[in-house]
Amino acid sequence: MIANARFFPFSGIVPNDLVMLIKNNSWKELSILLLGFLFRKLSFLGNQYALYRKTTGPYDDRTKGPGMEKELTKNLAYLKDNLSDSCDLKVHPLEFGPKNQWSGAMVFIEGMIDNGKITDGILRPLKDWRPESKMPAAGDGLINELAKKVICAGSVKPVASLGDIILECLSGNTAVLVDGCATGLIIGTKGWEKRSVSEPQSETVIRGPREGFTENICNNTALIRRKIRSGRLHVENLIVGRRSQTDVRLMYLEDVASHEVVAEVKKRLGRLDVDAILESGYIEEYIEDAPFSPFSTVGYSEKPDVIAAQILEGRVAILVDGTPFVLTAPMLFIESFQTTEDYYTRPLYASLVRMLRFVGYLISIFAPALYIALTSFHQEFIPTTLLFSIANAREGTPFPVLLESMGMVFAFEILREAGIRLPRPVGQAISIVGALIMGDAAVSAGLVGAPVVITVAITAVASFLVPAQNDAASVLRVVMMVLASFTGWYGISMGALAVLMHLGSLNSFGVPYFNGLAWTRDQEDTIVRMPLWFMIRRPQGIPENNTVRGRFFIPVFRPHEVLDEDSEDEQEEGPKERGAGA
Amino acid sequence: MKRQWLSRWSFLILLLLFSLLLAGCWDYHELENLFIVTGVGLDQVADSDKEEDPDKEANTEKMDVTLQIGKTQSPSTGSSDTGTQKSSAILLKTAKDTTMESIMQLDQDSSRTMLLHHNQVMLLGRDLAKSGIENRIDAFLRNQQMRMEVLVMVADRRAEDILAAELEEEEISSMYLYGMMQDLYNVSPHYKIRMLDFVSRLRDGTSSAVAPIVELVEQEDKERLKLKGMAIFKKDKMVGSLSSQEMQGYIWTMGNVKQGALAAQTDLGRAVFRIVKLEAKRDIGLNPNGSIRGTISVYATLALTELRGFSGMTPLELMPYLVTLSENEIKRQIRDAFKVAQELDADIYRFGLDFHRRHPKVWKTIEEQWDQLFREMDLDLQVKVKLPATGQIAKSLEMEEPKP
Amino acid sequence: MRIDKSRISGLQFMFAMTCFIQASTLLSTFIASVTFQDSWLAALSGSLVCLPLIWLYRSLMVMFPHQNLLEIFDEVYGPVLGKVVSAGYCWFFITLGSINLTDLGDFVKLTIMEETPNVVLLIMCILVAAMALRRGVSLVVRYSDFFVTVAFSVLVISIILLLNQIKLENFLPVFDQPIGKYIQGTHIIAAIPYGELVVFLMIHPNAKMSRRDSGRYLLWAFFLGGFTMLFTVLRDVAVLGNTLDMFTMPPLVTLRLVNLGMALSRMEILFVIVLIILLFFKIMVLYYVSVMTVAHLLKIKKYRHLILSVGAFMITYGLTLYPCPVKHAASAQETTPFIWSPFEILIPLLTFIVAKIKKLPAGKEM
Repeated sequence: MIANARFFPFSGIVPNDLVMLIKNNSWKELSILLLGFLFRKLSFLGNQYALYRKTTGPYDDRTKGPGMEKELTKNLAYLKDNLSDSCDLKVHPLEFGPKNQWSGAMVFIEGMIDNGKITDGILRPLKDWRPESKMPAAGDGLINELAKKVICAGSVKPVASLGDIILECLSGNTAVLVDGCATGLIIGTKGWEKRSVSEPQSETVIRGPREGFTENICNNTALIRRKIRSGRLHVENLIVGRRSQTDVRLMYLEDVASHEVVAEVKKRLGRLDVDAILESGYIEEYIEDAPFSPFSTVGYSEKPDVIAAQILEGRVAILVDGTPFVLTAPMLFIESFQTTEDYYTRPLYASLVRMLRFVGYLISIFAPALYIALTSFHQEFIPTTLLFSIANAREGTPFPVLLESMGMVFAFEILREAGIRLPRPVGQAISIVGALIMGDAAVSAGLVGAPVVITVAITAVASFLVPAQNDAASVLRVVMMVLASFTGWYGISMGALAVLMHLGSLNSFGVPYFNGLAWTRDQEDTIVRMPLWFMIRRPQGIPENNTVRGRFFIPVFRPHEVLDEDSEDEQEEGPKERGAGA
Repeated sequence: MKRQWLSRWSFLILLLLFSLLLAGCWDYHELENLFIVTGVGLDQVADSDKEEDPDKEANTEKMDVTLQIGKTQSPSTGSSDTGTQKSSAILLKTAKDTTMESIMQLDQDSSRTMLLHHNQVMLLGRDLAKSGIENRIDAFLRNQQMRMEVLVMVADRRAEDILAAELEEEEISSMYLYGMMQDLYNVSPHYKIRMLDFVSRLRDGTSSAVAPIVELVEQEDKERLKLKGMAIFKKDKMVGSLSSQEMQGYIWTMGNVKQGALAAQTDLGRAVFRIVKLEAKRDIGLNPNGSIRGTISVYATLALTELRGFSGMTPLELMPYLVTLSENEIKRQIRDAFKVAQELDADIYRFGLDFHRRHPKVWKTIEEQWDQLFREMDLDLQVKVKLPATGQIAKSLEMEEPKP
Repeated sequence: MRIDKSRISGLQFMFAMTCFIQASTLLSTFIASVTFQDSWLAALSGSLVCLPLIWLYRSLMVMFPHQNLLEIFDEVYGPVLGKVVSAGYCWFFITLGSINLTDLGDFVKLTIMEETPNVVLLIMCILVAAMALRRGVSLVVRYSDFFVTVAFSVLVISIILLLNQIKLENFLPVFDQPIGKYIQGTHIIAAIPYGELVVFLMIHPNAKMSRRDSGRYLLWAFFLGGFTMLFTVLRDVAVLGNTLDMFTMPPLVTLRLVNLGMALSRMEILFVIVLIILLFFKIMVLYYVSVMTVAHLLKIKKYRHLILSVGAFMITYGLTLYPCPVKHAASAQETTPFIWSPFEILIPLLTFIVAKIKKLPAGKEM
């Protein structure tokens, strides 16, 4: 902090001196003082960030717990103790065997198990069990016998650690403990009330599958598997969160996804040392590349077909238990502009919509800034008749343009937030009140000019074209407005260049985030969407191997015309081609 | 290392933010603090003013500068008193040596700043135009706020009267003038004289600049603006003008005409044609005797729009007759205009420039005596008219039926 | 060894050079008042004269594929003399950067921001460029192809929109000026946009390209850039005619004339942003090269420490270089080409010859 001392000799000042300074009108010292204060605050933040960067030890802190004892009572006592004697912990005593000579207990947590599975899979077989040959002795033999021959369940496994038993119980499995055995059985009886697969609210489509992920991770994995029936689709389970012990699964195509990216994702997930993961947003925030950037470097979606497409392009999907939002990495900037429907509709229209989306995104960032720059700096560039109409509208409004448009943008954000959080019917009422009454009233009362309302309205509507970049656009919009009110068009152009440079400096898991519309193969799926049969390669940069999607062939255009003209050729070449195809 | 960098960067960003907030914005002009200037008029100082102030007599450099400003009205108040609406243009006037001095003076005297970017027209008063304008228009070229597209026009009397005109068609007279010129531009681009065209001719050395003349006409309490002809400048002084008819002749000589009307009168009757297309090809060369020979070939496509008279002629006879009739009429008008130009020694056709471009070597020897050469130049005029259609009817009512 | 380790592709290298040449189209001003309506001839002959120069740069790039200009000097002239030459180039690059920086300031002041102090504009520009420099050359040239595309489309669009104002007679008479004027114009064109390509000798080791590619890319960049310059001059002459030499920035006046009726006039703001972007790109490249040169001279591996200080120096130097744009234009017409010539032509040529005599790179390669 030598720099600190050099720049701010007054940093150790006490409030009395502050009063003195104000009284003496020594503004210079005062401003240095304030600067010093802000500087210290910022360097504190910097310290915190540096601390965060230092914590890199991989987290491996799963409570192993002691091994099991032979006495059932001791085990049960331990379990009760370590599950904090909760009332939803059920211990069901059992007696079984031909002569009911064995006593045991079934441990589970109420509400997380499927009662049918317990009755049919554990209780009934145990009651009916009559060993065919000699009775196995208490101990591992008995447990093995139970596991193999008696219990009817999809997943049965022996455990010897009490810690594991606690974990399994907490995730909805049932433990069967037998007196005299130092191992127990864990039986998969997970079953709880869950939402069924339904159409996602955040991404609605006109054409395309309507199913969405649910909160259940197994279900989600299955939904993806149903799309990609490939043996190379690798699923890997991790448990993250000291307390929440959340299941996190990685899914990727082993032979396509880049090993570096996979290793990077695993490394970053391993670095996580947190209390709980309640939503994939937690993971996203911990593993993203640029936490302070307005642009997100991890993608997400709620739809299986989107995630399947991402996996097929070589990305890694990160599923988190308890949320329908699945993360994908690496994320490219261009992804936000590609929707699944682009690939389900015909390429010409899809390209048109794609371009519209780019224009909409630019409008949503630059429109208010442009309005400010044009009306308060460069009146020269407005056509004369338009200038008169704007000037007429501005006449008599009390606020400067910046304040006016800032206020309107702010009001729009308020309305949007209010509309989202409220139930749908009320939300609609809010938007009607906000948009119609407030906008109209403000104009006719002479508080704001109509052009501002129009500008903000077009900005607002345009911002919904690219929902994935909405948060970035909101931030950039304000920045651009400030820059525009500072140095007008020059400020906007420098701001735009700064955004470009920032985008260029971003990396997502080692892959460049934005390639600047460079002249590469990726152009086929950037501003336009080429026909599917044209895009034979996966996007550049993401996949490591197997970059080819399929063989290139051109579907026959207008088949009857071809038949008319080249019917002879067709006959000659027909069999050959079929041979080559096979 | 990392931490230091971060703090240093944040310090810099902080400084920038402070400078943003504290230093203020330099080019910031709220729209409501601006006067949008739509027209500038330059006039010789009026006689009445001279008498008031004896100092002005000594300084002949002074001129009246009139600014026309489009008035902005807030929509809420504007709608209530439409009945008693006054003129929507404001006129500000002052007399100073130069244009910019006057504008700055007006800036000081008024509540708002002048915005000159949207100036549509520069009107020169007739008297000022006659006394020379080269030293008057520098501001219109130098100033960043001035555009090269500004129309140059000459007022028949005083420019301020034109700017003050209250028209029915358009509330602001300069906007009306702009619209009028834009309309004429579609007839022929040579009607519309922008500052660029005007200056380009002034810089030629031998060419004469032209500018349309507008006239204020009062018809039954209503004021109207009319195009009266074209002013001809010799060097930078206005020396004469072309009448409306002669102006048409001049425009035809320049070619590239897309619309227009042509009326021809003979003993037999009167025929009115619409010009569909009119092209002119020019060639210029040196006669063996040292005089200049100019050739203009006009190719016109006309359409018949109205006929009166011509009774007793069959359509078959009529068409060739009309062709020669229209050819002669075009020739007559072109010659009329050319005669005026020659009398004034004013090369409005830019023959000199043409000659320079075609024969750069010879040009150097004759450049000095161009005025005389132009005066004695003979014009070889060829007109070819095509009259492909007679319109919706083949015969007019007055025509005699061919006897069976 | 190398200070900046980021790599760029050969194509990016090519587009960067194209963009660099395109950025100089604003400077067609300087020849307009020398050769008038024949400016396009000067642009054309200037380009053709530069072909051997391009070949010279290409041969240096091929001879020393892994060394930048300063390293070449060290090797060819030895450590002491090499350092002296390098210091000269350090001054050259920084001056070039400062001049272009003031160009940007003057341009912006003349067109859109009349009252804003120059220093604010320059600081903003340098800060944004510094952002890019921190990531090395890969970010500096990343958007060059995008910029080139935009510049080309603007040129084409402006020509289409101005078609009705183009008068081909404005080119007549051809060869009307004394021969000396043509030589002067040719020299200006050769020295200012093309000779400045020497800065890319500082970047070429970062580009991934083969021996054959380097020549091809240089030529393509030369053609694309020269094409833009030629057509800009042609357009300006055709539209402005004999008023061309009257204006301080003819391309801007030309663009201001675009008018498609009342509603579609005054669109030059779109062109202004392209010109700002192009100038910014040129400044960024020169800034990068200056920082690299300083880092090399001072033997600093972590060049990031230098970025802001070099930037601050360039701003102050640029602001004090010329008292006014008129003087700037005059010096660009008369003196600058002569001062630049040694750095752009003589020293590279000398280096090439000495290297050939000493058979330097051959021994090194093996």
